[in-house]
Amino acid sequence: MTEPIAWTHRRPGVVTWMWFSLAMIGAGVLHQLGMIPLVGWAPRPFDDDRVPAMIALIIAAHGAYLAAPPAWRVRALLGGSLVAWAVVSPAMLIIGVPWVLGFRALAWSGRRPAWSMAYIVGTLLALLVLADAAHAPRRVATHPWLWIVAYSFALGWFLRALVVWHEARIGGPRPSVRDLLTYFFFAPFALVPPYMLALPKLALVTAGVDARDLTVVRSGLRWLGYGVAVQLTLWAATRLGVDPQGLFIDALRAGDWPRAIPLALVVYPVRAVFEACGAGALVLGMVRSFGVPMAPAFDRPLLARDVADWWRRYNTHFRALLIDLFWTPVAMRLRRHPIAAGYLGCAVVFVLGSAPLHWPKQAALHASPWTFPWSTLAESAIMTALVGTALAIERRRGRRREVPGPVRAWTQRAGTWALVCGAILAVGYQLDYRVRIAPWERAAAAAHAVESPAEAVALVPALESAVDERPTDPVRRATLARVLVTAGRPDAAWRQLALATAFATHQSLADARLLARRAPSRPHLFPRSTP
Amino acid sequence: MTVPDVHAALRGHVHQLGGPAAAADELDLFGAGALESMQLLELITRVEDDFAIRIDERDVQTGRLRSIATIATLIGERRGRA
Repeated sequence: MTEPIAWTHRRPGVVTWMWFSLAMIGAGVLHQLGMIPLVGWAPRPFDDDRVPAMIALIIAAHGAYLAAPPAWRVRALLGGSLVAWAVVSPAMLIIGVPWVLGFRALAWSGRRPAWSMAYIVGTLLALLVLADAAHAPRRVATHPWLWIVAYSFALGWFLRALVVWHEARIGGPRPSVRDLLTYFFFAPFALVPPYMLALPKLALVTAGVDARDLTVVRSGLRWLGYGVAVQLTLWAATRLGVDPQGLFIDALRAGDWPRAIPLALVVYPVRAVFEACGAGALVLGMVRSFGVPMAPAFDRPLLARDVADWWRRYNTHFRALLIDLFWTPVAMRLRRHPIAAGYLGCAVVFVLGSAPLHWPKQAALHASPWTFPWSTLAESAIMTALVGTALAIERRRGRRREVPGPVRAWTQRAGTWALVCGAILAVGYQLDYRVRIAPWERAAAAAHAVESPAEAVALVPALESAVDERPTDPVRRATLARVLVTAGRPDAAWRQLALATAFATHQSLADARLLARRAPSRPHLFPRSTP
Repeated sequence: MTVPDVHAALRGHVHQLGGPAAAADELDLFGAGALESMQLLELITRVEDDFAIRIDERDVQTGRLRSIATIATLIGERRGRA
């Protein structure tokens, strides 16, 4: 029988830390090679050159956390987290610490919760307006830290601030400054903005970090491995030409509905759900590696046998927030009218809750706060009808259901996929394509063919509109610059070209990888007219 | 109504709404998937009618309806106050 190695026997955390380090380094290498995106649900709009340093600091923070005596665990994690954020964005650190202190003072001051809500929303709006590249592109290009802070707050902090706000509103205990700072500056979120994928309760983070249950920590390693494996599978499938999303967009572009409809039914389960599950598993793995027993954000959504079941399995952290903020207040007021409660509750959750809460991502990702995700709003309206009806059916039928045979169960699952895919893809993707992508594609194609100054002058408004839609997209600005030259406006062209260069520098690596990954099936992203 | 009667009545409601026939007092009704949001509304109206108490949003948000035991405690407090 083999004797355990003495030092690992005395310090079981050391082996765990070594595995965590290996997993993070492996994920980092795969990310740098462009094989998996370490970005959650939103590509970083700035350079990836700090990723290796961020991973090294997260590994160091993890080691310090595991090695620290109980009284120092949270301090060790907080120290490591602050250093990680100092590398990602010193400005976020300088702005974030007083913001957290102010939020704590306001949320637990005894004032009406509306004040602390105004503090959160006001901060978000102020940052997004300051980082508005459509109306103040020079400011954003000159001070890219503004965009990074707005992005970090919108995708990393905003929804979690709402989670904490809700806890304060219902009378949760006032957290210590240390705990609240640890919650917001949590080291892994410096690398992967959690957005909707990780919205743990404050108490869960505090207690989990404090307890440092090695079972939870090791489960994090398994989730990390699972997330990397799923992301790698998607990458390999895409490289092999299995890219239903790209083919679907091609079919939409061609108006080829006989091809688009079956592809639509494949895109969602194969691409979107697996992509979401992979990104969610990576975030979950990192969070659990720090002892936080957070539940997965996706509970095998492809196994859902009806729409209500799907809604309970998909994006569960965001769902829980929507339930707390929107469903419960409305449903409780209408509890004597359950059908109305179901439909109105769903309407509030999806239309007033989910759709607007998707806007910060859209706004921060492109530094364009004036574009609203209309496609998400349309999807939300459809989901209101679907989930509201599903809840009404479930109420009439009762919760108990017989266990179906495998054929019937898979038929129900396929029907659920079709229903959800139909709602999301037929409405959302198509609207998104028509509103956001198609006008730009038409303008880019026209820009390629433009010959006379008169044609160029006529084309400028359409291209300017496309630039306003994606003001940090260097390709759009460069295309506009080219047409402005033909239109006889060299000064304006030069300005656009300078901005294109500035924004291209800010997002060079992350965007280049993303585009390279999808380029074979999305040639429109690199129009031939691009200088 | 005695405490065991309250528990038995609650257990009956949980079962009628789709939960297990003999739910343990401490079972997390929502965490275990025994009840969902619509059944919660139904359970609240039944508890309000049966025990002549009022349940508000904060009771739901703070997890006071999480299990048969916590609901029974809430009923006891509200009836005691009345």
